[in-house]
Amino acid sequence: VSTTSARRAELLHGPRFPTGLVLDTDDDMSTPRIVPGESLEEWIRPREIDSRVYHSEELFAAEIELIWNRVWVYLAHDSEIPQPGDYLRRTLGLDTVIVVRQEDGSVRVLLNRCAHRGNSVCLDDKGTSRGFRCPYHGWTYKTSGELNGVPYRSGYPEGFLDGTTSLTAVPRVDQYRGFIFASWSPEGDSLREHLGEAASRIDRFCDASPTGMIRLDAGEQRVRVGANWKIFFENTVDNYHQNFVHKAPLFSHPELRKTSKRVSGDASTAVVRDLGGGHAELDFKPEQLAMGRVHQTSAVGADPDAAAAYEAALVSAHGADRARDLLIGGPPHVFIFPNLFLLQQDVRVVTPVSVEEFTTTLHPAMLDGVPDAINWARLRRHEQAYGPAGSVLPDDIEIFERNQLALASATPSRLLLDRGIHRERRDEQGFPVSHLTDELGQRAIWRHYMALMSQGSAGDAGPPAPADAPATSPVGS
Amino acid sequence: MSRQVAHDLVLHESRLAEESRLQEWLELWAPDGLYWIPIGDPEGPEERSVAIARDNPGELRERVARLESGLVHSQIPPSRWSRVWGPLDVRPVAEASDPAGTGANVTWEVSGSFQIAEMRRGQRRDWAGRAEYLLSSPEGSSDLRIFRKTVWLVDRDAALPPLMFLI
Repeated sequence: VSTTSARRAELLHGPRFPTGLVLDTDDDMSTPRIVPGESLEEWIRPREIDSRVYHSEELFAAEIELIWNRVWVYLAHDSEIPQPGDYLRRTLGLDTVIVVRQEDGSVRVLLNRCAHRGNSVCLDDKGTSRGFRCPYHGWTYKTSGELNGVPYRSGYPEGFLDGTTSLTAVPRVDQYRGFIFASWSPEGDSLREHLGEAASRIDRFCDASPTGMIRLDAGEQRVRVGANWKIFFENTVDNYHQNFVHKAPLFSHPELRKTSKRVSGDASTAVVRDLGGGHAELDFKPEQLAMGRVHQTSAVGADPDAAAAYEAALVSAHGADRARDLLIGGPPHVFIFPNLFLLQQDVRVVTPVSVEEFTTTLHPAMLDGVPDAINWARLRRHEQAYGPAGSVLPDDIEIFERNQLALASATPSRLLLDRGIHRERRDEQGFPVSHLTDELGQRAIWRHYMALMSQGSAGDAGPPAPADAPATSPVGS
Repeated sequence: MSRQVAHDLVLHESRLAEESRLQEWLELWAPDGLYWIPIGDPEGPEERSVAIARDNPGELRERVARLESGLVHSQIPPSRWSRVWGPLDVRPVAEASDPAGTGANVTWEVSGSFQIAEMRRGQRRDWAGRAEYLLSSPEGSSDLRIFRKTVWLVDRDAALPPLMFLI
């Protein structure tokens, strides 16, 4: 950890709000106030959200500090930077960072800011380099971030530049099955602790490949949305909207329409599940398995020979039962707090831009060890549904933006998240679940959000016990 | 086949799209046609890279059916848009050549730069880029159809708003 990182850490973990402009708190530091007389707890209740949370500049600034600049944030996938010197320019909170593969195979995440005058040292989204050069005064850095050269060095006293002027390294970087995360917080939960049960959903996503590996090497779509980022996370676990917002693609596909009505219907066995730690999922698998058809992400659109080869490879890798479970049960549909959303064939990432704007990046995941035809069918399927011209995502965006417009008035209102409150239950593993169309997932994410915003601590210890269930927490501390 | 016919087909295609005469627009496509809006500058086989859109004629028909269904929220209200073409470059394709590598009888290549102003929900958006057309004729026919339309947006790798009309 460089001195600059230490300074950064001091800033983050010293006085919580060094400027005094962000959140005012009670004397006991437990009740953040966004505006005089209003505590965050009044805005964000377990089943009711104040509309101002979507357009408060002050709250947005606090979220950057207390969430984005502290927790584990997904940044990149191993397969995007396979070789030493390979780098990506990505966003961590509001910071532009460089994710770069080191000589020893490890990954570093560096603030894209020259230690001298703060100019950007990396100008490309992706590339391979032996280091970074600041275009302003020619300072150069190794891929480790260490200062390499300074033109006309005699202008500095001897020893002045030693060891203190590297690119700021994000103190913690770790990966799980190739998913690379970083945290500005030098201490706290390990990545594995942060992921908790969500790790097994990453496993499921990767195990669709017979080698257990995915590749993000097919490019990415990026969309810009004029809405608050929290509207994105709420929607990731909202299946209630499916048959209303996505009428158009369902209209063209009677078979999908039937499936969609079935999974949302009263008799559906599909559930929304609180995985703890702000992670939540829509679990379609029980209905998919009951219907018994190969899931659309698995082979549809590929030629039959390729589909058969894929199935055989999966059976040989995982055994017949697990292969069936993956091919028919389908991929996970999981939100991993605060910015990663795995669904269908898609690794989707949300990045806040301002209180009223976010971007979403969609990386269709290619499966390692399958015929090209399988991956190309996944790509074509992805394009039909998602991206800026797809049949699904633009209608979500339209609804997000109309929501933002409707909420961005001076008149506050309280928005309801009660759906299904009378029918929450625990599954066999003890996780809170409810009917697929219920708002248990949103409540779970907001509860974790609140824990982070209130304490700046490691956050939510797990789902609370519903009133009618035994008070046991399924998630480790 | 005259140069003028190839030139006019491209103008006709964009006019039908602008005026939402989508069924007539569909008729302009060859049965093995492709409507492609790439994102990056793909290396290797273009099928390997995700695009903004990559529709075969069946998928184009679905796209049109959706737009005409009245169910697409992001087209309520619909976009109003207008395109300005720069000069079109119209080139005959040598008889033996097969630019798409599919054996289709491609006879003309037309390309040009464009600017589009879109108005929707009180917001103005601008789109710009270069469109490339390959036009083909079925064996023994003088009809021209769109075998391939590729739209290279200038901001194809940037974060884009929804692109819902037929650009």
